[in-house]
Order: sequence, then C-alpha cells, then structure tokens
Amino acid sequence: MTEIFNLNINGTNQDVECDPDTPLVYVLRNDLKLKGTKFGCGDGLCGACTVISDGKAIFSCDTPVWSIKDKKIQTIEGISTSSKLHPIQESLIDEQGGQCGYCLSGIIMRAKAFIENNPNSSISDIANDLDRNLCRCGSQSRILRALEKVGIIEASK
Amino acid sequence: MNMFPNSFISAPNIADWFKFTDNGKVEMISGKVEIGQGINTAFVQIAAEELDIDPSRIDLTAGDTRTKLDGGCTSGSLSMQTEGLSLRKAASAARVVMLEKASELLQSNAGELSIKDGEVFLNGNTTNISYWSLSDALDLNKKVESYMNPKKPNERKLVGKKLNRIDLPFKVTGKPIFIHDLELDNMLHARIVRPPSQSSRLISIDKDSTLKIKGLIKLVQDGSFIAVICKREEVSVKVAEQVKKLCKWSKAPKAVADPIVYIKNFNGEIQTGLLKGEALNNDKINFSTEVSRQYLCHASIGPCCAIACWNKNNLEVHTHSQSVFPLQRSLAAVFKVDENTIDVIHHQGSGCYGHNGSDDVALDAALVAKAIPEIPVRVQWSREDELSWSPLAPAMVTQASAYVNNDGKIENMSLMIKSPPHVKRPVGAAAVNLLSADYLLEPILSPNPIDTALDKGGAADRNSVPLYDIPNLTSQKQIIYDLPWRTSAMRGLGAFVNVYAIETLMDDIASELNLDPVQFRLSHSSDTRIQGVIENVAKLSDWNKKDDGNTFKGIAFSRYKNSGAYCAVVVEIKVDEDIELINVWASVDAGECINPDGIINQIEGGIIQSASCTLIEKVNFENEEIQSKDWETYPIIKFNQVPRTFVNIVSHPDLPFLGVGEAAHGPTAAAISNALRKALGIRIKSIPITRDDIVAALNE
Repeated sequence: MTEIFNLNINGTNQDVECDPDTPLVYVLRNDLKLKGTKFGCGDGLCGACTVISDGKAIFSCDTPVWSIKDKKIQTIEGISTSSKLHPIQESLIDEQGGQCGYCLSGIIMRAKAFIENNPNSSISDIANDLDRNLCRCGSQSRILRALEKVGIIEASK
Repeated sequence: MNMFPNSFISAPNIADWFKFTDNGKVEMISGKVEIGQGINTAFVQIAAEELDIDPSRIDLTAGDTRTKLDGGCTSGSLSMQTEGLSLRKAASAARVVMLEKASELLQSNAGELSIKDGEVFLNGNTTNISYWSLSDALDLNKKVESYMNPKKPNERKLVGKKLNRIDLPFKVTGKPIFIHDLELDNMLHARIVRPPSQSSRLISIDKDSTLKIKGLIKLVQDGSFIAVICKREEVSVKVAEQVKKLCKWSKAPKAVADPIVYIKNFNGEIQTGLLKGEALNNDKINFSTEVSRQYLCHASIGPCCAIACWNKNNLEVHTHSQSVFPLQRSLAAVFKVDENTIDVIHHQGSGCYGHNGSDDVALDAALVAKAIPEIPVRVQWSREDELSWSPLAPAMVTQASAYVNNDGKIENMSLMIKSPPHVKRPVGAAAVNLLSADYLLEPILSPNPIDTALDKGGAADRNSVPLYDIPNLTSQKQIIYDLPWRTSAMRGLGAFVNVYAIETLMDDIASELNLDPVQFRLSHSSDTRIQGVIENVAKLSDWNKKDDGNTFKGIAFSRYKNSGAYCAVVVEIKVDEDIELINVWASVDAGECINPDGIINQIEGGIIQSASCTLIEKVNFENEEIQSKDWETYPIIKFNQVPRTFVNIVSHPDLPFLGVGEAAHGPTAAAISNALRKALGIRIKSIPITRDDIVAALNE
C-alpha cells in the first residue's frame, strides 16, 4: 500500500506518495527529480548514493523512506547555490579531482559530513572514512588532495 | 570493419564540424565521446585555439548518429591521435575561410588581419566583423583538406596549458549530465531477468503466475530474453526478482575448474606477430618467466543504462556506448531495419575502461521498448548485471624468455601469449556482438572474433615486443576460443600482462647481473624518448637514494602499443601484513600536450586502477557461473589503500599527440612486482598478487 510521506529535503518539506519500503534513492531521483544522488549497487557497498541525514552520512539505496520521515535530509543539490559552491566542490574543481564523476556526489556528501563532525581530522582519517565510497577511475589521490585543503581550512576556522 | 575510420570520410566539410550560431556560440560536432577521460575538454581546447575564440563559446555534440561525423569507436587511446588531429585541421580551415571572407570585405591582405575571441581586427583595430556577423555569408560547405592550415607550435596560445574540465562543475553539483539521469516524457522502467549463467537457456516460465504480480505492466519475452516493464523503478527491481523465481533454465555444462591452468596447458594454432632476426632456441634461454592474470571485471560504479523508444518512423536509442555508429549498424542487423531509421545518441555514462555492457544494455532497451511502442523505456542494469554480464577482460598467460650474452646484453627475447580473444565489439551485420541477441527465439550469433594482429596494434599480444635495443625478437600468440566466458577489450588489453612479463624479466636479469634496474634499462635504450622518461622518473623519485630497509622502490617502463605515450613508473611500497603502496611517481611523454592536467589525471587514474587490478581483482567462478556479483565478491581498491601520485610530463610541443589513457597500466603493475622483489627477494608471477601468494613464495 502506498502512503503519503512529508519529507524534509534540503530544507524544504515535500509530499511523496509511495510504498513505505521504497529506498530513498528512488524517491530522490524519480519522485523529486534530484538526479545528483546516484544508484550504484543497491546494497550500501559503493557509496554512490550517499546523502546526509540529520548530519550523518547514510546510503540512500538501503534506507527505506519510512525511516526518514522525521529526519532532515541533505543531498548534493542542497549544499551550493547558483552563485556559491560548497568549499569541497570548489576544492575539487581547483584540484580537478574527478574523471567520470559518477562517484563524486556521494563522496562529497560523506566528506562534508565527516569534516563537519570531525574538524581536526588528518587526511588518513578522511581516507578511512571514505572507505565506504568507491571510485573506479582512480581519482582518489586527487580527491584526497582536494579534501585535505578543505579540512585544513575548516580546522583553522 | 575499420573501428577507427578517417573522420574526413564521413565529415569532409567544415560545416560537418562547426556551425556559428547568432548568439555568439559555436556548435561543434565530435565523433569521439566522453567516457571519463576528459576528451571533450581537450577537443574544445584544440578547436578554441585554431578558431581563436574563448573555449566557453563552444557547445559540443558528441557521438550522435543524427550528425554525419562517424568517429568509429572511442578506444585504443587513439582519440587525440586520430580525431584530435582532424579536428585541429577542421577548425583551422574554418578560420582560414573566415579570414578570406573578411579580407575580401575589408579589401585588405589576410596578413593584416587577426582574430581575438572570434572578432576580426585589421592592423589591431576593431572591424565589426566576426564569425557570427559573417555566419550567413560564410560558406562552410568546403573541404577541410583544401583550406586547413593549423597553427605552428610557436603560434599556439591556449593549448599546452591547463584548462579545467568543462564537465566537472556539473558533476560536483549533481546536475543531470549522465545517461542515468535522462528522463523522457511518460518513460517506463524495465529490468532484465537473466539466466544463471551464459549458456543457460529458458526451459519454461510460469506466465499465469506472472499475471498476479503487482506493478508488472508488461512481461517481455523473446526466446530466453526476459524483461519486466513497470511504472516505478524500485517496483521493476522487485518484480524482476519475482519473475526470476518463475523461470526454469537449462543447466550450463561443467566448466574448467581453473582457467589459468587450462590456459597454461593450451596448445593451439600459433600466430607469429613478429620475428625479427633469429628465433630463440630453447637451449640458449638463460632467463625466463611465465606470468598470469585472472579474468577481470570493468566494474564501473554506475551500472550500464539505456533508454529506447520506438517512434512512428524511427527507433531512438540513448546510450553511453563508445561506438554509436557501429552500435547503430548492429541494432539495424538485429531488428532487420535500415540503419537510417535508428538514431543512436550518446550521453555520458559512469567511467568506461573498455568494451563494457553499454552496447548490450542499448539492445536490451530496444528489445523491451519494441513491446510498448511510442513509449520510452529505461533499462538500468543491476550491480550483478554489471559485474557478471558485461564482457570480462580475459585471463592470460605470457611466457617471456631471453638470452643474455656474457657482456650482460640481451641478445634475444621471445614472448608466447595464450589468451581468450580481447576484442568482441559490435560492428554491424558481420558481427552483431550484442549480449541479448544470442538469447532471442531466432538468435543472432556472432562469429568468433579475430584477436587483432600485432601490426594493427595487437590485442592479446599488445606490447609483446620490448622497445629495448634487442637484435632478435619474437612475438607469438595462441588464441583460445573454448572457454565459456564472454571476453572483450579492457584497458590495455594484453599490454597489462605482457609489460608485466617483460619488465619483471628485465629486473630479474638486472638483479642476477648485479646491475641497477634503471642503468640496465638505459644500457638497452638508444631511443632518447625512452631514456627521457626513465631518467626523469628516476630523478623525480630520488631513485639513487638507497632504500631505507623499510620502504622499497621498483621501476618499469613501456610505450603503450609501441606507438602511444611513453611512460616510466616508480612505485614505493612497504610490506607488513599486506603490500602498502606509499608513493608512485610517473614520467610520461605524450608528444605535444593539449591539456597537461588532463594527461596527468589519466596517468594518476591509470596508476590507481592498475594497482587495484594488480593487488586485488579477480573474477570468481563456480563452473560457468560468475560468482563475482557485488562489491564483496569483486572488491576493488579503496580510499585508504591508494598511494600518493606524482606525475611529470616530458613535453614535445613540435611532435604529434600520443594517446595516454592506457599508458600507465602495464608499467605500474610491473613496478609493484619489482618493488616487492626488492623488499622480500621473491618474484610473484600470478596477478593479482595476494598475501597467500607472498606467503607461499616465502615458504618455498
């Protein structure tokens, strides 16, 4: 049976009608047309679908929509404006950290949550946390260089 | 079928490449497609240079059969060497035609004119003439080859410098740029129900029970091809699982238990790719090795995807294929229609490292959509489809043998390669080569592929001829067709294993002769470009500094296909419980560089991907059935396993472009092995190099 869920996504409340077990990734991509969150495996093993729920990085592919009805969800679309990028996005462009870029939105969301929750982290702390996000093109060393810069800036604030 | 046609066959005129629109933009066509490698940015940079315009003015359409430009297949690290060069000529011809028209209007010599961001200046003064003001008067239906005049190296201003990738701002902000993100009106979602293994076929399906499945709009069946169409995507996932339980499939025959053992023992027709000087007699061999690599998956992060719609007068296919025109021909052969009634349109996909399932899913979408005309249907492969139904990179065994004379010089080297075929791409009616075509009621079977001959770049035998000064050289291969798994091109093809064989043997010889591996290579290289990258990487990595007993360095070199970029790699490792990659340095000579950062990015990515293949990856089988179905059964390298990477370019602005996309793979793998030999004194000959292999070798 479908139900109507009032979801808080990127600071806006929106109604979605679907089965309560629907994985969040499909609600974001198909109901709300937020295509930045990617499908990668459906098992919570690659991180392409990572979004932030109440400040914590979660896999949206194995998160049923019923479980987030009281949470504040942030997706890649919600961290920048048309005039101002998030520092992680800026830094990734500066370092040209990415090739195909399919993994990037998930990596950005996990890194954002981690750096905000752990402002004095080392680059190896960030790398360990990002272990749940895969990149097949081999952009990891560039992405880490970009995140290291952001981590240092955040820590010095 | 030539997979790399000359661009000027299909697109001879300037107008086939460029259109100046009145909003100050340039519409540019490309036959090569973005597969993550950054080609769109490099092409924009080349055209902007020759047109003398700002790169942001260019809107690029790439890989679209509705245009004329048939770029063949985007593969083989050839896009720069082939179409990049054609594009430079085409853009220069547009500039020449424009300047001719301007000089006619201004009654001046072309030499007095210059162009700045598309505006014409006469002796430095503005003229109100531009590509756009002239666009109606400018006849671009002129042969590129009659007007082209590319700039001399010293006239170039834009190329050779970093240009940020044009796609990255979209990708870091989550804009819908991928095929996966495309949504057409009234689009439905489909999933494919696959058999348990490749040669299984459908015995029966309980269709009555499928009628009771909630959310199933339509069940599609053609022979053993089965798919479900649903309104909601997540419903299609569940419905496909339910339908799978209602299917009975034939059992696949027993397959060999250990493919590597089978390949090693295989004795078939020997194809000799090269015999230079004398063949190497068995009794003369004083150094040899036999290396192997397991089957690999492409393992893109985003599983393959396509959207198709059978409109009234055409079939419209949206795809991330590397080869849109060949795919168009193969689809025409499957559906027995004129290829001109099929539009194949490229969109970016998740990273592509060779012939993956992107063509196959396009046929899947077209087959499914046929059942529900005039409605677009999107097929998204599952993670399991992606890993176990895309073509695999074949397992391989390469033997390298050498005769080294008393002066420490290699007089003879001989390679024997045994491998399933490496190229099974769709080309059209002659070889449809699309997965689901084999499963139809009237299957369209494709012939055994020909493993490309060495003088055409090679496939299993790619890079089987060392570039060192060795007077006698032999390269031979045996292609194995009776292993059951579908294999095709994956980054580097045979080069990965052959370079591993040659470059580990080089180190084994150097070590036996008590020679430094860098000096030993240099003493066998009279080519200054080889010397250039080896000396450069040695300097970059501080090679001459003695290993500290804690970390160890290994070096390797190759020139991809012996015709692409030169690449030398030094890997620094530490061995505790596992091999830890600390630093990797690389030096690359790609001739003229358009976008140096793009080259460095490709080499860095190649190093990390190769490290993953060398240390971790292997497809697991149970008989014919592929058991690598998710990221736990097919792990790849993770963030905390990657080394720091440092890449330096040896640039030659006056020399032709050389492709870099596959240059780092072989040298990285061999350099890891050579570092390990230094660390522990053991040579691991099987890839992936696992902890078990190391322990076993230490116990020997």
